[in-house]
Amino acid sequence: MPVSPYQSRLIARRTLLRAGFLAAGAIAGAPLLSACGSESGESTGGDATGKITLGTTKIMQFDPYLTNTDIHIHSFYTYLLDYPPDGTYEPLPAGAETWEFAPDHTSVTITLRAATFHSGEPVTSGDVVTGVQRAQNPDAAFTLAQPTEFIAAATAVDERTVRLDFKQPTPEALVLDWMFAFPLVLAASNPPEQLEHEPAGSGPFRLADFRRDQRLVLEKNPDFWDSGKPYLDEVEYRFFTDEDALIAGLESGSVDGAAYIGFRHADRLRDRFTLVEGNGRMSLFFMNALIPPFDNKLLRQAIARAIDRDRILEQVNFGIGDPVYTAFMPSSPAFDPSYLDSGAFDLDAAAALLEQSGDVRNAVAGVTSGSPSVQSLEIIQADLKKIGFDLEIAPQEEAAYLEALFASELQCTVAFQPNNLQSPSLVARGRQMLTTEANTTFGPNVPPAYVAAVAAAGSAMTSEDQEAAYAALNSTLADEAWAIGISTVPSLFALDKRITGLVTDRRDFVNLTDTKG
Amino acid sequence: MSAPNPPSSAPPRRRRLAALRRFARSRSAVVGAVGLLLLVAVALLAPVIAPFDPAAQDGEPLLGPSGAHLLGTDQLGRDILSRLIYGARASLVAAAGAAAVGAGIGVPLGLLAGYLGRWVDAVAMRLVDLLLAVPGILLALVMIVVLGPGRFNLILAIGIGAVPEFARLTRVATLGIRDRDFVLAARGMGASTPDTMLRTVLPNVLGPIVIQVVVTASMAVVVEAGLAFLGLGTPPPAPSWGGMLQDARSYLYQSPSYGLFPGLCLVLTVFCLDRIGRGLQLAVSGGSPHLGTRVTSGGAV
Repeated sequence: MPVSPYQSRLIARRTLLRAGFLAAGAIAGAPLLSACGSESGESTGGDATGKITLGTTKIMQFDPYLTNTDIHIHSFYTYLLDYPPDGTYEPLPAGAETWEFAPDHTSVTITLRAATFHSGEPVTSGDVVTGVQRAQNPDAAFTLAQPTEFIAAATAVDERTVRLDFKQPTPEALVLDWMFAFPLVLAASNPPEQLEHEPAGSGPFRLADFRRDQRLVLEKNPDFWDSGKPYLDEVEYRFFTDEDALIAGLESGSVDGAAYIGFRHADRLRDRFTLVEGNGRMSLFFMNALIPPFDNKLLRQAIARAIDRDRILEQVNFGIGDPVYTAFMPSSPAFDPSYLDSGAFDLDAAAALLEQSGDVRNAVAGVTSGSPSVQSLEIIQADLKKIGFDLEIAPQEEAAYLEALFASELQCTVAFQPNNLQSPSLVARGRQMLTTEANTTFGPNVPPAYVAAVAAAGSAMTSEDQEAAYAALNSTLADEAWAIGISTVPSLFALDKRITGLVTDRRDFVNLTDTKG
Repeated sequence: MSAPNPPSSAPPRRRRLAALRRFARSRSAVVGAVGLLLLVAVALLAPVIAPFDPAAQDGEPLLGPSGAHLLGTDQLGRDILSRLIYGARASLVAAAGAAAVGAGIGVPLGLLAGYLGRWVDAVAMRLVDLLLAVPGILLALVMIVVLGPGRFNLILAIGIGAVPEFARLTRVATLGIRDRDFVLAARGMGASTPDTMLRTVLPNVLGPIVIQVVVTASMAVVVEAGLAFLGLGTPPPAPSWGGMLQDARSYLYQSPSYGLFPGLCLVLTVFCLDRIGRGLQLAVSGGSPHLGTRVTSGGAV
């Protein structure tokens, strides 16, 4: 039947309307369908096994002696002991089944648990001895070298027993912290060049697949010593180039969780995801005493009084975290809240000290461009301007910033410091601003009072001695004023609501052993 | 000696007026010109018309638009309107500076290459090829990383990226008139080579260059904002629209209007510059949209 042009237009209009209704129906129906889908997903997710996918922007490598990468390393390795996730330092047996200190505290004898590495070989005392030897070499183990300094020798007593002899009587807490941070690594795979590419641990997960900058897949270790754990069969990490892409991935459902995200996302994600706060780190304002103008102690002390912690916490950290003055978190035995009062933000006091410090009225702060530290510096900058000090902020690309930081070229910066666990002497570990030997702030001329205070904190046996040592450590840090605490910076995770049991340990390393999804 | 601008026999004044009329015939070009003039006025009068010091952190953070703060405050309690007004300065200075650097290096290079030819042309064009081999934004990024952040380095980085377009455009235009009668006449009357280039050739190739200046300026606004967005623009606390956008990205949930205003400013500025460029193209080409000299925004920025 022939169709007239008028009818043709009517038909076309009708077709258009029909298509429009269909499209509208599809749009309206999509959320319902997806809701049905998510419901069924939740029901399957409740069986406490399966696979989860976490998104991250962090770069990874597998050598626990040379990395601060915190997202995956705890999955590969068993440490000699664990601390409970409730924030206390009650040691829990892990790789070590038992340990016994000598009455004079000059040695500890550790009995290892019967366990096997991912390769199937048994964990032996020889692996611990090799590990200790490597940890004693600062070039081969920058994260463990300083904490291992108290050990004189490691001896394999038998297949599963190892004895550590100390250089001097050593506090139990320091030894326990060391055991908490010491990974069991297969001796034959311990050389850095091998471990960098291939993990060799006995942890809850094994490496299944790794494509740099794309994905890392962990699979359950069926021979893990804690039978029944881990609960998950597989964990996949997907790499994102920036945090906003990661959050978009989380919201679109392409990942089940986003790890180590900025506080700025918290409000937006709170209703739809489970937000988990980890133990985190501290942010500190560092001043370089090697070069002008901060080779002037009075000037450093003046700047220290011009840091408005409350405002930084409120406006940069979105109210998350606690203020700190010296480099100790509130959970540390060396944390002394009185410094937050005596060294509180006070522009009049800062101006008076500035007056005494001489004529220098300007400095340049280095910082990674786009990081929240820029805003912390902007707050400090505005306050300093009120007392006539011009702090210029020079944002740099991250690689250039790190290079300048390690080369001691930055006059000042805001940077992070890890948790010092229950041993304040660990403040000097690492390789940057707070070490007692040739650090980036003082070069070889680290203040003797600080060196002595760290040594005293690491060897004080009685509670009175410890109290005095920690007080001296706080005092010298406050007096030299090169590392002024701003606040704690908890780590933040956003997880699909079906994921439970993801925690970070006291170092802020992700622990997936009890995670269910 | 001065060249008589031979492509047309009309007196220069009447020709200029004709070009202006052609420009004015394009309504959008006029709108663009008025918009740009307004923007320049705002930038120049910033200390007078800005209600607050753009760096003063005196207000409550992340306030929405209100009577006290017409466009609200940012995450540090600074007045967004004042920062936008002062940010116009940063954008316009970057635009003008980058165009000046690009033209200041590119035009002489193209003029020499086009007029002298032979090995000078070969060397100049290889230099240009070298610059073209590196994507403009990457070149700017590398230069900022190497030289450090700062307004001057930013202008230099964007401007150097724009050199190839100016050089190639000038060279092509110079080649087109190098052997024309009026140039030969100037040479025949004893004018030296530099004199011929500067007083006879250059005035006759200025049309497309002026358009390229406007195009480069508009792209420089965008690149400046892009670099500031990446945190490599003018160091804080100096306001810049790109930097404000970058900051606002973090607070979209808490203050949705924060990112709107710097984005709008960028859009309007680039629109104005683009329309002016179009109007100039019409003016130079004699009114036909198809006869305009090809200008380019590719490569450099």
